[in-house]
Amino acid sequence: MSLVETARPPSGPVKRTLCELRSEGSDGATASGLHAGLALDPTAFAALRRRAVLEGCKWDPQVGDVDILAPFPLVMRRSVWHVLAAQAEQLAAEAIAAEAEVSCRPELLHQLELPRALRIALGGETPLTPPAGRVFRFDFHFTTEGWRISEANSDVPGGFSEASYFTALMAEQFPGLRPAGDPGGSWADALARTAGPGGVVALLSAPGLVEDHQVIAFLAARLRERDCLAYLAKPQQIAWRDGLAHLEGSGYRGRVAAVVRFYQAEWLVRLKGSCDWRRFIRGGQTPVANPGLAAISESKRFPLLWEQLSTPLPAWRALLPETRDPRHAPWEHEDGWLLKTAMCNTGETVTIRELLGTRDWRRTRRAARWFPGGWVAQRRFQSVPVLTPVGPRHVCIGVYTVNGEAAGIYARLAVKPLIDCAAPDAALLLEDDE
Amino acid sequence: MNKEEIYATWAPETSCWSRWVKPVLFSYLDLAAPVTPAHQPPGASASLPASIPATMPERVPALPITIPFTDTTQEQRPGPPVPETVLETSWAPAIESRCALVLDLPCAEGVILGLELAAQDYRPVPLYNAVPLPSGELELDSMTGRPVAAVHVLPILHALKKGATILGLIDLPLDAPPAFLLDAHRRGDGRKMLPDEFDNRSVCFTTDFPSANFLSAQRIGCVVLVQRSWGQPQLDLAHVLRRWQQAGIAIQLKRLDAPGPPVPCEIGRPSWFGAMFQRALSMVGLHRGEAGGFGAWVTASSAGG
Repeated sequence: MSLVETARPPSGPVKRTLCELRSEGSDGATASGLHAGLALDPTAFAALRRRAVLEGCKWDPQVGDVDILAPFPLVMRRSVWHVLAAQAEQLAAEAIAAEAEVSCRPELLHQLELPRALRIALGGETPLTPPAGRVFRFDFHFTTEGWRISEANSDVPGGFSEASYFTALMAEQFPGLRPAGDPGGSWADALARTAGPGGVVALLSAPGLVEDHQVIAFLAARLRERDCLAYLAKPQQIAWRDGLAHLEGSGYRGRVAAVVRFYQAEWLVRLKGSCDWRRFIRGGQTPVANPGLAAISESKRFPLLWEQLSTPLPAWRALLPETRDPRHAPWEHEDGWLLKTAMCNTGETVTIRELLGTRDWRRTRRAARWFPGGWVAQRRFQSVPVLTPVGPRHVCIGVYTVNGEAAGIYARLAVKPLIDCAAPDAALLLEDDE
Repeated sequence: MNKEEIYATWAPETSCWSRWVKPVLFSYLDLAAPVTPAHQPPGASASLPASIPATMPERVPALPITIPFTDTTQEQRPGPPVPETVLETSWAPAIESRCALVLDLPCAEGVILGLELAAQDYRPVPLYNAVPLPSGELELDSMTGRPVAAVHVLPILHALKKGATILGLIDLPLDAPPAFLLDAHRRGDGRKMLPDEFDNRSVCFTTDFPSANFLSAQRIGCVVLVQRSWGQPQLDLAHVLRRWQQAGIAIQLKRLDAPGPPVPCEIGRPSWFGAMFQRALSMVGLHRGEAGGFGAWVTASSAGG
């Protein structure tokens, strides 16, 4: 059953009318086609939250003192979604073309600050392991200059439960509004097509991290709904025999039809023992998602290669702010730049000077000076906040593409113009244009 | 009680601590098969239920005293016997002293002691983060007899399920101080993992707990770490306690293997303490253990973007 199709008329817990809040919105709300909806009453939202955590694998609903699930939706005009969807599809197509070119030009790989063993594997001559599909998430922000992206999550994008299950639950409460898509369902559809009816899919993640477990547990549940056999495991439990992946797990031992790698490519090189991690990238015959080449556009230093590529990247050039090697940007003296590490996956190393204390800024500055090859400097954009029931919030609109097609949105909010792992999740719903 | 009701009992809307209850195990409550007295194994008297009534206040109605906290309807490891010391709570500070408790005890002992403390008006807050074995899988390898999962969480699951019945009967005050429940074996028992084992080890992060500011806002000025024996907190927990200590919250230690009240405890600076230092190290590749999330380096973030 499609989550999107389960939306039904609300029972009326909304506190205020949509028009009230929209009329209070900032100027940016009109220009962006984005505004906040009204908060559900606490009892209704508590019931919804319980469903999300118990049935939707949302296992990290609290980060420190922050309640991660917003009790109100963001509402976007459908025409705006169509624009962002088209841009995301173009970004995905360009990234895949660029990755293919870079993999044939291994001399470029060293600029991405990937581990040496991974660079060798990516630039090798053994045939690439086939992809089981490809999912991206591009993080859009509405700025004073229009929509821009801050980064692409190319390798291991998460957020499926929030973007699919939680969003569908919120949609049930708001008549006339619909989710932009069901990225978890779309991703599961793509994987199930690869695995085939009754196919065995191994979903890999790092032990110890519940926020990663919840992603693959959610996908596993969706795959089981599609008649696949889904098993959670860690990368070390995959044995490659004659190029075919076999799961050596407690619940299943045998060949698998597809592998989902929710495990960053740059971590693979640290796997020791009998794990032949290179097969996740090249030399395997079992499809793997995401493919190892995803590490190329995942690196925040990917833009530093653009001038050396023949692949045209017009969407990337238009949407991603100017990005430079820290040695070639005035980030130490001008506030218009931010720093981030090359493999900044969850935003934890994004550094904006004005948001840091003096001591922390000195530490980051020292690190970027000592190891500039591990960082990038990126020109800052001015995010336009959206007025919400809890005050103005900066909004990050993560647009998924699954096998090249836009599949839905994962929205997050922040008080500061910086989205990190403590940024609350919001359901984004579409309204028809007037 | 169904899954939602059990979760709502442990995380009631009226408690300010409910937001921190970890939902992972609750989402797997379907795995905890119904347990009837007929399933009670011989010698199960060492588990909680038989002991609870003796320590419950008079206002608590009759309790389901014969329900075991371990389910032996499947071929599973029984939970280890619960030492009598776990059931002894005379050391607990009076709730008027506004101390929070962190129970870092193995297997289901945290739940068991948490329920005992609930009878003294502490609010148990489960923070179990390990994923149980997938449904239908046996806990023991049929060939070797060794455990299949790194962390044995089914006893915790059953304890949460059965404990909800007990907890639901206790009328806790709205401002009850919290007793955070952790599994001391969450990182595995230090044993070497075999390749085909189900790796459900987990760690706790500073973000799994309320901040010192929040604790202070609830008039919590002291935190008591409760352990079976070890003098030093586990590394992941040390990060949490250190942050609280830095913010002026007094940390005390209660060892259950030693009599007497909690004693003041100074939490030393854990390895890689401080986020910015971690950032610098992450840049040179020192950001997590090879297994991906624990070992000396425990505070790195998720794989997913």
